[in-house]
This record gives sequence, C-alpha cells and structure tokens, in this order.
Amino acid sequence: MTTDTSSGVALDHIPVFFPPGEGTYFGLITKPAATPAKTGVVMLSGTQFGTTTIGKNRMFVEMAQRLAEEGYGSIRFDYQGVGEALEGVVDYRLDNPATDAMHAAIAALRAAGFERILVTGTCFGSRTALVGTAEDPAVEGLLLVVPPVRDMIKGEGGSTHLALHRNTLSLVGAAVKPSNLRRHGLRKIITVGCSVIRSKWRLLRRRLSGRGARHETPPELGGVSPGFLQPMRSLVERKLPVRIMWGTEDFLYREFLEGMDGRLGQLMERAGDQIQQTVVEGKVRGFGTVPIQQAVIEETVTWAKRFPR
Amino acid sequence: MTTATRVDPTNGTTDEVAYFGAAPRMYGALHRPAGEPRAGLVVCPSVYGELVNIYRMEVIQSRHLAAKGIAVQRFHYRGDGNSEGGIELLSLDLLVRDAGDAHLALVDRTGVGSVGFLGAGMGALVAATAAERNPGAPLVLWHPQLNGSDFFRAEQMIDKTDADGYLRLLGFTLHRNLLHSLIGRNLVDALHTPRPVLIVQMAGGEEPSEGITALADVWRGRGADVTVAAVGGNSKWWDSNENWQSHETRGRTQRTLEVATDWIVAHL
Repeated sequence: MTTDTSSGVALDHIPVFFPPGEGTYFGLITKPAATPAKTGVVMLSGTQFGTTTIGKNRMFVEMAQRLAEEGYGSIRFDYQGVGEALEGVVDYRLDNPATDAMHAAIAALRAAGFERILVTGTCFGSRTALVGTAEDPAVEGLLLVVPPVRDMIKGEGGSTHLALHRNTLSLVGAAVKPSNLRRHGLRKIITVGCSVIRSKWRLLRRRLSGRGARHETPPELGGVSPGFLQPMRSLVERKLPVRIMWGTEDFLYREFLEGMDGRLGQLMERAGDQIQQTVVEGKVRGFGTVPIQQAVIEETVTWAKRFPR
Repeated sequence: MTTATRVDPTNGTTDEVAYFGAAPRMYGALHRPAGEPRAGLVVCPSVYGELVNIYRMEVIQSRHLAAKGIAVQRFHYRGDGNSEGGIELLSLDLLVRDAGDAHLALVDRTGVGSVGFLGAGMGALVAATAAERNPGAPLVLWHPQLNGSDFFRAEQMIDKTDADGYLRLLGFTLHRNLLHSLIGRNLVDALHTPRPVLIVQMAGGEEPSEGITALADVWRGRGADVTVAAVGGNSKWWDSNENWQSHETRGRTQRTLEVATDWIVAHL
C-alpha cells in the first residue's frame, strides 16, 4: 500500500494481476487512503500503446488521482498483450471489444471492496465499455469519450472517413497542398492516400456489384454499426444514465451526427435526457493537447460526482 | 506495501509489481527467475511518449532474461509514468538517482552481485551515467539518444517555459528542470571507464549511423568493448499509431530481443 500526499489527499495505489489465478491482465487500483470509497470507476483505454495504464501525458494517472481526491476509486489496466499483461497476440477490433477484460476488471474492483461500479472508455475502450455495460446489469453509470459508431479498421478510422466523405479530386488537391506536405510529410500523406484508395475501391466494388445501399456498405466504411446501436438500445431500455463526450473537430462526432438521420436518431429521441452529451471545442480523440486532456479529466470527475461515493 | 505477483506456469519466473523507495515512491516491476538469479539488470526507461511506446518491448525483454536466470528490475522515474510525484522531479541527475534506487532495490530483493544496465531512447543517457558509477557493469543501449539537447529540442524550448517553468508542447507538459538538465549532456561524455557495451540501432538500414559509429569509436578508445547491432526498421523506431501492431508480432522486436538477450546472457 502506498500513499501520495502531494495533492494534500493521501492515496493508495494497489497493483493487481487479475483474474485471480490467471493474471491475464494487470491493473492499478487508486483510491483515497483515509476514507472508504464504495464507488469504483473502470477506465478503458484504446489499445494503440505500449501500456494502457498511463495515457498521453500521464492523463490516466492524473484522472485516477483526481477521482480519488473526490472520494472515488478506479482501476486502469493493461489489456492482454499490452504493458505488464500476459503475452499473447490479440486482434483488437471494434466489432470484437475486450469485454472479458472489462468484466475481469470489475471483479477486481469488487474484490477490493467497491460496491458501485461506473465505467468510462475512450475510442476502442468506449466501444468495450458500451458493450460490456450492456452485458452487466450491475453497472450504474457509463461515460463514453468519442465512441466510434461504425466498425472502422484499427488505424484507418481517419482515412476511411476521408474515403466516405471527400471526392478524389479534392483529396488529391489536399495531398499536394504545400502546407499539408510540410505539416504531415510525404511519407504520411502517401500512407494515408493508399489507405483512402483501398477504402474507395472497396466502396466502388460494392456499388458495382449492385449492393450500394448505405446499410449494405462494408461495416468499416459506413453507417452506424449494430455493435454500437444494439447495446445502446439495451441501455436505453434499462434506463441507465449515459454520458457521451465529443470534440467539435472529431470525425467520429460528425459520423455520429450523420447517423442521427436513421435509427440512432430515433433511439436518441426515445432516450431523452437519459443520454446526455458534452461537446467541447477542438479534437478530443487522441488527446493531442493538454487543454483537451484536462477537459476529459474534468468531464470524468464531474460525471462521477453525480453518483454517491 | 502491496505487491502484485504472477508466476509463469511454463517456466516458473515471477513478475512482481510494487511501489518502492522513499516518498514520492516509484512504480517498479521485478522479474525473477525460477531459481536463484545469477545476475541482475536494471532497465532505465525513457520518459513521456517514449516511455509508453517502448514499454512492451522492455517487459518482453525482461521476461526473456528472467527465463535465462537474470533478475530484472524495471521502474518508472519519480514524476513520470505510474510513479508518484510531479514532473518538476524530472531532471537528468534525479533520473540517475532513481536508477540508483532501482539498482539498490534489485540487489536488496534478489541478492545479485553482478548488475548491468539497459536504457532505451532518452533512458540511454540515464543508463550510461548510472553504469559509469558501477565499474565494469555491462551496458545495453536501445536506439540511444546521443545528445540530451535533441530531446524535445531542449535548447530552443527552455526559453519558452512560463514563469513557473512549465511548457506545453505536442500534448505534453514539460518542465524547465528536465530541459535545463539535458542541455550539454551527451552519451560520449557519460562513459569513461572500460566495460562491455551493446548498442542496438533500431531504425534505418543495417549499417550503423555515423553518430553511433563515432560514439562506439570514442568509447572503444577508453577501453570499452563495444558491439553495435543495427536491426533496421522505419524512421520512427517506436512505430506510429497508424500502423500499430502488437509488439509480439513485430520483426524488429524479435531481432532486438535475439541480439540483446544473447549478448546480456553472455556478459552478465
């Protein structure tokens, strides 16, 4: 058991391999040392890191500390094949969320004495949080940070968005623009360009084969995925409070808004105040700036404080 | 102190994660062999994004070495990663002090007599400086940062820190203490005494860069037995998010582990 009094509040940091006996995952439970915390937050990261316990600019570490200062516990952890977790090559895809990991993390929190469970996730972690929460009726609150509504391929979210929403001429124009060349570099532009061409080719093949209706496009290329819609519907029926955070410049937010034209919009209307949204200026996905990181931490703490400690 | 422990059922090695040292305490992971360790290694990580990006390789390397009878102590510097403390605690001298604390913890917990140091990226400066304080200690450097001034372009950036010493750059919060401590520090000057050294170049082709060749030549002139291995790879040695894949599947990871594991086992 360790303490950190730099913030004026003593904290405990408890490392844990879980599930017991297997130790597939590794997590850090952070909680206030002096006061018993009964509410624990499961923090689910994306997977594109060497470890998922730290986050860009230590933002997950700070988030855990801020939550503990307010009287809430949390667990942040490494997925399999990441950080301190067990070795193994896992194909992390949005249509195959790591719900086993999430359920195991909840069990670890409960074993540490937490009775009320809240879940938050970002990107891949937000899809995992959504599906996992729909599977676990005991979860009492959910915060999704820039959740993808379609099943985009890992690392190709931005390029498939371009393939869907920009015509080829405008893309070529943007690629050869000197300011973009300076900003991104030729190598990056070629890499993204190849990915866009692949996505456009997949769309074209679908259309040529007479299956061009939007709901029949490959799942990674368009529309609201059933993998997003179905668990969200389940949570609406359960009347679980859900909060979603977006940035105005997130392409995932634009795709969410486009999805509102269809069944997602009907569901959101039915949910009413049960699903609340926070939209901040800028791009949240990737946590590329310190103000955005601080906004996400602030949003998470404010959201958690709606629940008893 | 709470220690999380996991035993590998296939080879009996153990991962032990615990906070250690004086407050603010450091996050540490000790990788123990199944039996008595015959030697030890301290892994000096990098900081900021490099810490996160190279993290998994260091874990895999440590487990490989534990399976070969070498106890490995990994840690996060005070003020970075999962350790306690704020970023004001990051300066090269304090990073070296933290590496020394990790060294002591390793010896204290395992009783090993012979200890080497491994450093990746900016951690190479720390590892070399810490090794210099331990005569003859083998040293392994992964894609070393040759000049401290190049890290976050310290020399230019220090003038941009605010009145309290902070600077927000590329989504990171830096502090003047680190930038100031890196200016003028370099690997050439970090090592003066003879020892076995392995330098692994993890980007570019299969020929060592001019900088690494020059470094090796200077150190050889001071009596070090320097081996240079260029394992190749793209210019971003840590790989970018757009083409992320599990470290276990990366060819460069496998080549690096092969080179480094054999060398460390032979020299410790």
